[in-house]
Amino acid sequence: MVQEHPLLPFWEWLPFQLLLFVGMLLGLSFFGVFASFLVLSVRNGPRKAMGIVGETIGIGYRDLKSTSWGRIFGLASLAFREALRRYVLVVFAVFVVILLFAGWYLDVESDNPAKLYLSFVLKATNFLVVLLAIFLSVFSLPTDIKNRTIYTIVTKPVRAWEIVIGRIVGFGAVGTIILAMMCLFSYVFVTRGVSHAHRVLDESVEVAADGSGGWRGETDRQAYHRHDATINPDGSGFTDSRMGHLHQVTRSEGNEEADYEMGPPVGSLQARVPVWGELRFLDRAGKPADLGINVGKEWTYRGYVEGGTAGAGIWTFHGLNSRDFPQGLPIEMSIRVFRTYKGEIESGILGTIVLKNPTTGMQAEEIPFTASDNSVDQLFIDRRIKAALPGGQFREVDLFEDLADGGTMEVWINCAERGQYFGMARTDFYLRASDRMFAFNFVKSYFVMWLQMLVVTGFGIMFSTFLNGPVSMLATLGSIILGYFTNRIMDVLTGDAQGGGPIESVIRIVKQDNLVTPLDVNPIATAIIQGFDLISMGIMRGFSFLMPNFRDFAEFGGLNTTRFVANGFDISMNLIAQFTVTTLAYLIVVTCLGYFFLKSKEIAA
Amino acid sequence: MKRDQPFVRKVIYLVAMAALLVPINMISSPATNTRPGGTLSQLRAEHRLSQANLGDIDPAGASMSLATLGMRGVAANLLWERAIHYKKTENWDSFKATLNQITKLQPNFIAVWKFQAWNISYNISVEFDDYRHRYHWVKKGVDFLIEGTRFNRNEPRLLADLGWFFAHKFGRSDEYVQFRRLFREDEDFHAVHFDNPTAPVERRDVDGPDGRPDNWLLSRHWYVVAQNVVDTKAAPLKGTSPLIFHSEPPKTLINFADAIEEEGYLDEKGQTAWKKAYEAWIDYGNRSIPTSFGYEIRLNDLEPLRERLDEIGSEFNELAEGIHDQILAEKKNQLTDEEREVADIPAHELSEDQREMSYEIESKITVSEEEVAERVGAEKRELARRLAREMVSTGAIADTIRRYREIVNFDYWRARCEVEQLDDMVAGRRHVFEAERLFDEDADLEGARAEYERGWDLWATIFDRFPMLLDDIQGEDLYDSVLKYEKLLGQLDQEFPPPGFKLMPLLEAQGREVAPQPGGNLEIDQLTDESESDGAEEVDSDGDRSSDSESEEATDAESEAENAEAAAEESDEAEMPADESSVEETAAEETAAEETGPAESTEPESATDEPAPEADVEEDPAEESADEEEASAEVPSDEPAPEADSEEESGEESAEK
Repeated sequence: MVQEHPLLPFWEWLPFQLLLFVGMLLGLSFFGVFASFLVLSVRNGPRKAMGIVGETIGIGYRDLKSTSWGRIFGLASLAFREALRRYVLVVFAVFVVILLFAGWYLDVESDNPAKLYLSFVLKATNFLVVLLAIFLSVFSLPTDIKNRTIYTIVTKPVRAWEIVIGRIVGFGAVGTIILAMMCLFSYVFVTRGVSHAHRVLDESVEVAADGSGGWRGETDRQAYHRHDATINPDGSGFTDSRMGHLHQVTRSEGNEEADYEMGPPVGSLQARVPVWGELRFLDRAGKPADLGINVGKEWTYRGYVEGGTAGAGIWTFHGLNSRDFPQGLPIEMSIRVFRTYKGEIESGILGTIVLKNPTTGMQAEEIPFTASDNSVDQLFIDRRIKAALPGGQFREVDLFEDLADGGTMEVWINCAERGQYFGMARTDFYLRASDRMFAFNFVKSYFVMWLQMLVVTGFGIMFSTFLNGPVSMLATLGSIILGYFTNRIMDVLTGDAQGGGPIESVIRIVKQDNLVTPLDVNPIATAIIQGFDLISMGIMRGFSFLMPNFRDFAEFGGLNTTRFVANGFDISMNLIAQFTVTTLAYLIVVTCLGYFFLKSKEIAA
Repeated sequence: MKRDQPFVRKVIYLVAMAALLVPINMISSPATNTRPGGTLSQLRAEHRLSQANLGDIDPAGASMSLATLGMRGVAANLLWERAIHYKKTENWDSFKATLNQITKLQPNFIAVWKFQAWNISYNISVEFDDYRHRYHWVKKGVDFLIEGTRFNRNEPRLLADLGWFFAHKFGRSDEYVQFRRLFREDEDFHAVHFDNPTAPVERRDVDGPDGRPDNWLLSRHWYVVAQNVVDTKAAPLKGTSPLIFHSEPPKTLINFADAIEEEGYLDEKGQTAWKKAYEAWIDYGNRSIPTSFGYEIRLNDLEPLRERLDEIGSEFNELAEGIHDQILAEKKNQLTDEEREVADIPAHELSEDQREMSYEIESKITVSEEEVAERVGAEKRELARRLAREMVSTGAIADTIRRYREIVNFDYWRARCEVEQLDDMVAGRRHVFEAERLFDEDADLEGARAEYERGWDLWATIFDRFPMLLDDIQGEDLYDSVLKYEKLLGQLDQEFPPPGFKLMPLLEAQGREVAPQPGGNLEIDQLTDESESDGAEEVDSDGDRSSDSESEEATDAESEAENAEAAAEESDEAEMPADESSVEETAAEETAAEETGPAESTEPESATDEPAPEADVEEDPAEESADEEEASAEVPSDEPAPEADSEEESGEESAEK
């Protein structure tokens, strides 16, 4: 799985984020207070304005202290019933229709149908739930205000806090029910979609040519593929991996012929728990290099090491212990290959893996492997392993006691063939600690979607406290889109994405200029345009930084776990904790803003 | 009255709406099974503009287009961008899924299918290191293209692309050996692909010599389907010239024949394949090809046209005897002194300015047929004019055909197809193939050498008859085998080229510089010397060996003697002496001299035994001592000669067919 930025552990992530949050909260608060003061000063003069602002803050604090959960739940149930009256279950019906016709749109012959189906259902659910949250949240308050039904509420001893929080809770509850139903239907859709059965073709079975006493055979073609089966002399066996899965095969001697039983697909729906290390490179002379070699690819996510030289990729793992890996290290890796000459077409490129103690320098015997490129190789390194001693001798050592220094161990990967290169990124090599239940992982991804839904609901309600319905909808949608394109905005600001900012790009489109030539207007105009673009992009960047990013999961406070589930990785509780804290932070801010905007409406009234 | 006005207005509106329904119905009513529909439907059907005319309609695509609410182009744009991003980040599954979505939005945009099929088969496939994964992605590109033909049934570009993919990606890529093997064994792909809705494949049309489908034959199938679309005028041919387009089907048969011979089918199966290729190439030559000059030509018409030109030319010359020279003299008289001077300078000595002037002079003094015809006597002038016109037009057409032939290398492939059917050719290839097998797999050096040398004999015959093959890919391919032979000789401590090496012309054609051997190297310009000094007097001055059995025997005996010599030699470090003048000594002395070692062979005219005996042996191939030598060297001596004779005779027979 591609992961361009590492995931920090929660307790490492929290302090900086907390600091950032407090800083931004204070900043926004100060900005809000100052802006209010200015506006009120214009109307009422500075002294009175200061008094009003102070009084408002004081009232807010008192209101917060006297907030009643009973009233909140009462308002929440009102919001809930209001949502049901608006036929929100139609969204669920739309979702079911989409699932029913999904086969028309999905590539059923994909090499990894599980990944495709999971991506599809998660994205479809995400999209529908976000839309639902927007539509529910942005029209509620403006409709009440327009119809004046809000007065029946505000005339009661109901705090503005309770109005805002109550609506969030109420609409959140509706969304929760719909999300839960979607989760169930999606799970059934995915599991049924990848489920299939094969049978071993009797006529294809023959004794294994390698003299092992086992058998080799072929299965029939189902779901657009078939497998090659390898059966051991004891009758147990497995097929090869195709389309992201394999099957267990069991042979039993029947009356006349052998019978073969095939198990369900294994490996397509999984939740691996990876232990990732840190990666660094050595250049061909064996000296540390910041990055690996660039072999000319546009995407520099992977660095390459040259074969037949001292070049290597070194992963450093921390916290390894025998409790987590009692038998040894289960490794999964996907090493890319770049050939400068074809060589033997039918042979892969050889490499070696060496485990090393970073402190004592003791290293294990080289483990040769053939890089499979674009596939996941699995390897198991026994806990007892031969290590090289000075003088060229080898003796058996314990992996954790001798090769790991306080749980820290290095894994060196070299390419053995001169003129060929191995490509590596941090997440291309990991230890497979264990597997969690796929179903639970699936539910965790829906939990993250639920958090997204709450954030969107909060934004919608916050905007609806001072904007009318359609404008609130646009504002909420705009915030989400701004957050979605955070990276793109950053690329434009830094110049990674060529073509300039908003005004410059419009000029280029109209004049049909390409992206890289200088702007074909006079220098003064160019300076003005580019200056304006810089300022506007800076402002957009600032806002996008504040907005929730539903596209990425680790960068800039992102909130998305689709890639984890689709690629078969467990969503760690570390990540869930980060997302939950992020969501709480957003909710606190939008609730406060909603309160004060609603309060300012009362004051204005 | 005022109260009735809204009512009246409503009535007027209703009547107007009802009246408008009539033209709307006439223009827009849809076609059904029984009715042609309104004007628009009829126009769509007439100009084949409706989606149903183009191919299948995909409900998923139609619903997706509707769901974009008129922003289909924007959606497609965004999807293209996503696809580029996925390709960049090597997310192949998502990339393919995105392509599917793009094609659902744009099913009739040919460039999407062409570009992305190419992208998958040529760009994505090479991102994988394992050749099986590459094959898998090449197939994906093919499947993608076939899907495109479903929605664009009469689009020759897509159909031809399918032919191209099967031909070149399966049959010409670096992994062609592996791809061809995997393709033959891929029964699942055959089952799905042969049953495709656009052009189902008949198994018998695509089965190779092993009874399994061959990619070249399947390529031909698709090219023929594309041809049929163009020939039936179901769709115009765009983006490629008809000359190239129609040459593809026979070329696939040529490539098929070549491929199976490379794989070892050096027997009647190979010959049959070449025969079919030849027939297809001749059929292609008989096809009318539109030209950019507005008329159509047939490539096979060049020879008849030239004959016709000769006839007309003779007749015209009879009518206009001497007139041409007369006019030429007159024109030359009109040249200035300077021009006359320049005209007398040989072309290779002209300076740049003089060359320019020479072109002008040429155009000034060129005498056209029309000019000559005008000077013919009045009674025959009309005939002369007619002949002149015919000469000009026939000449122009012949010239066009000549140029078009050159574009597709028509003459070469025709000759090649003919040659490849010859028994000599097949036998020659078989010997070389066997030699390489013995060398690579069995490490049987002597056996391999013998096979090579049998093969060289036959190839030498072929090159003598078809010297054009020396300079082309045929020669290059054989040269690779010669290099292997050289390596083999090196392992046997033999020198290369060995004395009397039959393929010296090939080495020359490949730009290899080889020092002449003492009276031995059968270079073309020295064959006359050899013929003078030995009994093999059948060699012509141009080095052409006739199909004279005696000369064959002499050649074979010569090579046998060489083999014997090579076997008897202990080391191979001598340089070939330059002087090829023969020294006549007995073979026994030669043998003794050889056994003492070839140490001093650098002095061309030295009296050392080594060079002289070698030269002598090569120049006296018929001597009995050569036979003795061959017997002692245990080289199968008798076999090649009779074989060569019989093969040559059968080759003659087949050439006469």
